[in-house]
Amino acid sequence: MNMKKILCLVLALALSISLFAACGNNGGDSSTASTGGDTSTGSDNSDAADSEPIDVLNQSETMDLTITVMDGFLQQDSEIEKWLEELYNVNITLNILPGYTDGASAIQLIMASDDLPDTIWWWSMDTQYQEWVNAGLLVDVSPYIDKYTNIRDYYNKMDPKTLFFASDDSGAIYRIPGDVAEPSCECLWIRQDWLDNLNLEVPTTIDELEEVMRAFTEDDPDGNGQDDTYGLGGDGYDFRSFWPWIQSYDLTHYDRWVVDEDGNVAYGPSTEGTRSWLTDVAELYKKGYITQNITQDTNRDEEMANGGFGVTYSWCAWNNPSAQTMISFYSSNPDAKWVPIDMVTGENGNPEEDPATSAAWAYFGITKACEDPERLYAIWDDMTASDNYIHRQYGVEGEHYEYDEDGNYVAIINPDGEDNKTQNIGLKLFYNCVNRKDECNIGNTPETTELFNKSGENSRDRAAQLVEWKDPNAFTTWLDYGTDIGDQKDQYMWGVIAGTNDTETGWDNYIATLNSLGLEEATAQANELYASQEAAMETYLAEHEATIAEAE
Amino acid sequence: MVAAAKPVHELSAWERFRKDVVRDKWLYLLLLPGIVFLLIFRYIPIFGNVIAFMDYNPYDMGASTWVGFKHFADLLTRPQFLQVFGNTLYISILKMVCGFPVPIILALMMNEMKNLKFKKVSQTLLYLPNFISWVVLSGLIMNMLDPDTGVVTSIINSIAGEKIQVLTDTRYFVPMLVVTDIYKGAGWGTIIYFAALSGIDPQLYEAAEIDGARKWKQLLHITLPSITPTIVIMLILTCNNIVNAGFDQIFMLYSALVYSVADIIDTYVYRIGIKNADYSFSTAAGLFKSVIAFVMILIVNTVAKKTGNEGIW
Amino acid sequence: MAHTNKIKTSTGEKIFTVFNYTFITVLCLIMLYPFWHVVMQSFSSMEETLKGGAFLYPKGFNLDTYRSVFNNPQVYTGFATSVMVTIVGTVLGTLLTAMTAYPLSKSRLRGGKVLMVIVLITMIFSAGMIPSFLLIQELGLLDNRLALILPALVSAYNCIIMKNFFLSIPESLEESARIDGANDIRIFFSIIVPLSKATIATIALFMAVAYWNDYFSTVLYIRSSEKWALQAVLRNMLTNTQQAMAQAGVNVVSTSNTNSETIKAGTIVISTVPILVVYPFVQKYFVTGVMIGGVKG
Repeated sequence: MNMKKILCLVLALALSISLFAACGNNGGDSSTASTGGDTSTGSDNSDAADSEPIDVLNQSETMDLTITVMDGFLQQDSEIEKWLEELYNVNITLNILPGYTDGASAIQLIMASDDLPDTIWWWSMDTQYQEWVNAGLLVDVSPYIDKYTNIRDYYNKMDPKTLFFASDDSGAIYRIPGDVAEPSCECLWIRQDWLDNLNLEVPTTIDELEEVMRAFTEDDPDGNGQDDTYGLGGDGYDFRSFWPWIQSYDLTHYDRWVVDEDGNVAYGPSTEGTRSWLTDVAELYKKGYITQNITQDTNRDEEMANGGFGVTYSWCAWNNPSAQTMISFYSSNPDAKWVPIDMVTGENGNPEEDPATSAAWAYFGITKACEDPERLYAIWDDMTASDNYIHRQYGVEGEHYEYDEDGNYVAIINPDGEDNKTQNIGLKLFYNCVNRKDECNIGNTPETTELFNKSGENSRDRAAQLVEWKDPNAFTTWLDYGTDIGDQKDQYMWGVIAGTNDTETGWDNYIATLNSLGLEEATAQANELYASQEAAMETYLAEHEATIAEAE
Repeated sequence: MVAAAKPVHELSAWERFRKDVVRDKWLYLLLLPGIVFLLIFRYIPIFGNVIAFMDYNPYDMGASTWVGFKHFADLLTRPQFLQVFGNTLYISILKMVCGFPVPIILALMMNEMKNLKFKKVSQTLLYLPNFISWVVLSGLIMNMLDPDTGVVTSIINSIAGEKIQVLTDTRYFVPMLVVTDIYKGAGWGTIIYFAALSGIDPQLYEAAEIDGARKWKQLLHITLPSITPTIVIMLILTCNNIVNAGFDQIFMLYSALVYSVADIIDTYVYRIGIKNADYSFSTAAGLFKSVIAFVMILIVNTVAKKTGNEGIW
Repeated sequence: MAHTNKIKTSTGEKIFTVFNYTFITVLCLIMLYPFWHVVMQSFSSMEETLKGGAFLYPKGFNLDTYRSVFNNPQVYTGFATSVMVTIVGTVLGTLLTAMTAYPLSKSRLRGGKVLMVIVLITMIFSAGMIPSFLLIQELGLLDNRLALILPALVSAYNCIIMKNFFLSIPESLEESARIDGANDIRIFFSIIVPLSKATIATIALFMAVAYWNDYFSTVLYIRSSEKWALQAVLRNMLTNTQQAMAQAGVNVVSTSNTNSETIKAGTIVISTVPILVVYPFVQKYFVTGVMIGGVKG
């Protein structure tokens, strides 16, 4: 009886398998054919570099363009879109990705479909990107990059390494950097009004900072008679909140690999420097100078609006009058004052800000579906030119924005506001397809720009100690062990801060655990990879010396 | 039926089968569209799960290769696997044991209410948490459990007599998961029992009242037996979740400090996926979970039938 | 009946009644709170929302959230799509589920158990994202609203629940119709369906909620933003740039998602209210004795 049942089941299954396996194979075959058939785009490009540049402004043939993006302006047929369509004689179909939570899934499916857009935008999908390149889905734009120079010059001016990180080993460029962070975007912020209330000076060393934190916690800086304030606050569950202590020691990071002057690479969270700052932070947390919920994934803004703490490591852009967090904060704390201050000097005597990466965090690429990749690249390049960029982001002076008497940008139509949408103007269209952070970013006030510059300059020594991987896929051991090691690291480091683990006896244990998970093997590979990557970068920078010098 | 069955033993098994099929042709016709739909829209993609046995490349089928059980072996031999698997079972079983009876009890309690208006309004209110996503609910939970300002924290602290951070304390995290899970789902879970309760013949109660049976007796002898088939089916269906401890909920609330008790297969595979986007690996993990759920349902269904209840099949 | 009740109510039962009402009332208040919180937040000012805490009433009352949400033209197209998908999907799906479940509830049906297992398997084994996508692509349904409806039309879970309910319908009710010469399809539509209003209402509610809340089908199958379902539109309004950048290992401040707390609250209200409005119409089928009443009438 039971046997019969099982037999029936197996038979039914087998039947449907054979039926649908056929179906499935068909699907597979057709997609293989479509990807395999059209690899010629790459080879066509070789002589493109020598031919005459395309004048994108005078093209008689209308080009249909489907462009897939995540951010920026998300409605069809806006004023800016129409302007671009007329300017370049193109017909743009805007394809919107469904938000960051599901964006990666959507991008994968679009790339796996038979119907590719002409331009695809993505972020952080290194593994998939490599697969796209291997499958011939993206077009190599390196032949055009020296022919249309706005994009190249902009990146070379900001950081010549950016384009190096975008290129592959053969020098081909399948991904155009879409957005690169400022060299550093953060600085130390402090409640000036609390300092004044307690007659304290602005701290310049880590010890003074700790003393200020003690006073902020214990001496009732807001004068309300209640013990309801903390020294340091920050985004919860984010090691970056402890940056002032991290930067006190050399060769340490909470996540990334670090490299010393001799080119020895080590895993940042496993260095002695990490041990030192963890000890410091744990002690401050235990004393109660740091908000107690910082070990949870809490939002800093809320705590801040309630006047809960007086020191934090945060965005330079808070300095802009349009910064929403600050507007909200001051509306409920009108007498308060947050000011950005210089990074305090720690153990190593070299105060530094948290450096961003040289590589872009978002890329866009031209796909094999595009009939004329060169023309499309030329269009992207022309759109990146200063005037066109400002027009795209901020609109037309006098109509969408103006300058006040100090020369500060004042929005008439706020690019992030309602009017931009309701009137379908289209400011910020293709926002992250080359997002310029230089003088074209007219939304920053001069003080903010100054702050960014200072932060950026003040983070280079630190940046030199941190490793950036050009091709994370090549780091195979890390693909295998990285998650487990990272988990272990998070558990240990947060455990130390929360007081459930320590850096005395716990440390050796921790390192042993990491090693048992494969850290030693990964470190060996990291050293090899770093050496070859450095060599490749030297070569690249030497080869492109002329264009880089020109951009600067 | 009994009358028609008389000559049956004279026919061969095949003829009987044919005869039955012809007799029920209209039933098969009713069944056809639904089954076809399932075959097309479910079975074809389900057979896509064969990519668990490949190194699958969605962008280039030609680059995909068969690798057998490699990804399963990889999953099962990962250093964290045992812990993660144990957590998954522990959390889901705890949720099942604590959470399963709650909608039944609620439905029965509300069934005793004579005030129709009150009943209707309270039903609606009980469903509300179901419509608030974990993203939002987790924000509220964090607020309530804030170590300094949380309303619930102060209650817990006064009971426990020490300062407790529920969300980062391995002793309290799992109970918190269970409580909030029940909170969100229990009201919505009552619907099915309301539907079952609505099928009970009121005459049964009237007869019982005439016999002088107390409310308690009515509950034991009429209400509960009437909804037992529903309870059994729901129990079997719940077993499908034996390896689903609740990704959304845990993902929104957990942190490294509670990995040791809260990290489940889904969250772990998700973290691996961030670093190393591998469809085949995550499909293998999904398939592994499905097989366990399948076995679990087989067992529970058999037990249900052995104990005289109606199973799924 | 009320009369007899009064006489027989013991003290124990009285205490129970009081406890019952009190308990459910307290429970309802607790259950109401998150939604209430969200509603009040949606009417509050951005600054106040940022401060957090409890929201028993709107702080800094204003309608900016709703103005901002309804200023997005996509909300209207999304609403239209979602209503269409929900109605068509629920009607077709409930019908198809009932049609599938009814024959399976007949123990005399040859191969019924095998078919039941075939149905069950679709619940246990999930279909992967890419295979599902490739299927819809092969069927030519990409970027077609039908792709939002068809894949979810029959679910094993609903099917099993429904089959279980059909089991409780006494066979005798069908016998008389059969003697009158009605075939199974007629019996199904003229006897079984009217008897199963409560069940059908339940399954319809499940399906409607599932269709209404579904955003992932949009992610999978729809490209043109004017065809997005409402939930996808609302989620997109909350997209978190900063989080994404942090995920990419980049720490950049984002200025674009400034008012997300109030917007988030507003979108929850907007997406939940239609369900709450529809619910009372379903609820009336849950009143005790509907089925038997149906038989008698």
